Amino acid sequence: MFRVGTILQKNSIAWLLLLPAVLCLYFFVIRPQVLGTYWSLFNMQGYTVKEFIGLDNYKRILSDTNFIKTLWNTCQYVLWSLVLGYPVPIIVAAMLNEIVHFRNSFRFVVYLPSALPGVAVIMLWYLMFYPDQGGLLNILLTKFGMEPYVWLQDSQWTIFYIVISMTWNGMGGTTLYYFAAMQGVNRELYEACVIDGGGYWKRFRHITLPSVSGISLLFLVKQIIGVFSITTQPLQMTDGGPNNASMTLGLLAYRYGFVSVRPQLAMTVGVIMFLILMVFTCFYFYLNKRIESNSY
Amino acid sequence: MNLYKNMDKGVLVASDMKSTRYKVLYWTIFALMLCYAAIAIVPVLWLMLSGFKDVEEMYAVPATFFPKELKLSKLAEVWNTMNFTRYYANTVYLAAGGVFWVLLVSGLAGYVISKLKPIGTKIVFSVIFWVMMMPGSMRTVPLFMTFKEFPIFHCSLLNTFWPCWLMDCANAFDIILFKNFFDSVPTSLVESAKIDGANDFRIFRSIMIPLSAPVFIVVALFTFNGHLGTFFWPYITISDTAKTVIGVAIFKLKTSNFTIDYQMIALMFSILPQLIIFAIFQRYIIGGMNIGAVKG
Repeated sequence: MFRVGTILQKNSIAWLLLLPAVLCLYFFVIRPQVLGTYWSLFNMQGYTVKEFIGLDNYKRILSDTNFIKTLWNTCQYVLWSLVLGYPVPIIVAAMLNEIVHFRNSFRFVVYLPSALPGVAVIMLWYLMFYPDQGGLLNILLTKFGMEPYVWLQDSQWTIFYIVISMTWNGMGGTTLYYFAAMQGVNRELYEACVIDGGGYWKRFRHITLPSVSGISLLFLVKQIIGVFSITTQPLQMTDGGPNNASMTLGLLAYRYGFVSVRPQLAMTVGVIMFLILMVFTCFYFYLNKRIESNSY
Repeated sequence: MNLYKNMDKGVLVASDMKSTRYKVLYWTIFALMLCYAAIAIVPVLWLMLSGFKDVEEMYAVPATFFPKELKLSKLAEVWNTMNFTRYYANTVYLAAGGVFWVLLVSGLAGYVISKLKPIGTKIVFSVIFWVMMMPGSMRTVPLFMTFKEFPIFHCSLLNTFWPCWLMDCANAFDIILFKNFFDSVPTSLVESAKIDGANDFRIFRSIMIPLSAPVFIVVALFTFNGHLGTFFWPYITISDTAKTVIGVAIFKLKTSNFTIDYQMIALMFSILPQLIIFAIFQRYIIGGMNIGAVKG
């Protein structure tokens, strides 16, 4: 009894200080996570939970052709973002790595787009993609004697253009991570290679690239996870249009949840996304562990 | 004058610069970097300049990049018609509140987990870690329902900034960041203060905070910056127009009746706070990413 008393006394203040964070995590992360999964098995009227209907919501979503199309759209976002957003930061970081003149100014400029608020960037690109002569890109086109183009209204390429704006906004941070990793390379390795007669390309391929390959794999998986769940960018830029051409799973869930108010379907889509994302998350962990155990 | 005297930062070394081939390579990289810098800067510049054009000038053929005149009075005109003072005040209030709650709740949690270690800390920490990694795609709707009618108290948090603040406190990443940083503060300091009779809160205030200033500054900056451009949660939880924040205000421009030049100036106002913060705290923001990278 005495021991229990002292343990309580010793720990009670610490627990008290930890309590707010634990409560917040419970109410705003763990509880919604569990309830979101649980309620996806129910029918709902507005935001009131009604009767248990088992997997009916899942049957309904998975048999919807619109869902399959949206899933494919979301994959397209991921694919384009890998084509653009994966190699470009590595290339820019490699260039920044060599620059001696105005190095800090370049670093500032590289990060600049990432320092802007996301919603403002989307609006900025929305105006740049403006389909008439007022948009910046059409100003450039007409300067080169070409016809103005409809940009976001061209449903075949809408996703590509949204991914361009996302990449422009998001790559500053990633570039600087790569840059920091490249700067961390032991210079003696380069010098040894120079003595052996290795040129720039040889040094870059055999020394610089291996030193960033670990984090580049992590960024790859992280990017897949991030882009797979995008919601606000298509919402702000095109609201899924034209004709649902730029719909994503996240936006679909948002619409079910807040526009047509069928929250049970929103949570169902959420659970399906969760299952897909979980595969990548586990892969991320596996990679992270392997990379950490390999590094010195 | 030797142009290449600091040439030992990247893959290229000083001795390379004797050969013309590498000189050409270096300046090619430099030129490419300039192009990239243009891609990063031109949209922002275009935004800042175009707002000063009137609508006719914007659609003039041939289109121009620079406006005919810089009418500064137009800035004040847009600021007042759109009531930007209110948006700024709301956003700064939201951001400052977020910073306060994050530093208090997550900071204390990190301190308890790192230094006090009451019984059960290990479980709490592993829960926090898993929570950070869990995709939250099904959380949005249950979270919204939580804010609509908060469990236990049965009150609505809609139309207040509490949803945003409370979710800040549930940010597992910040807690882990704090915990990792506090781990590097010697425990002997904490113990000797305890012997001198300081209580846990006092130790947090007089030892942990001053010694861990960098992590506090970084978390504060990132939270503040994040809130300046925040969009999604204020968009769905706040319908009261007196509480509109900048991010939501500029999104609503799309459906407003304001002419495009007004929209552009408004957009410029919306990126200004973050641009200024970035210009001032550049070192912390770029360096802060690395704290997150190494330890996250």
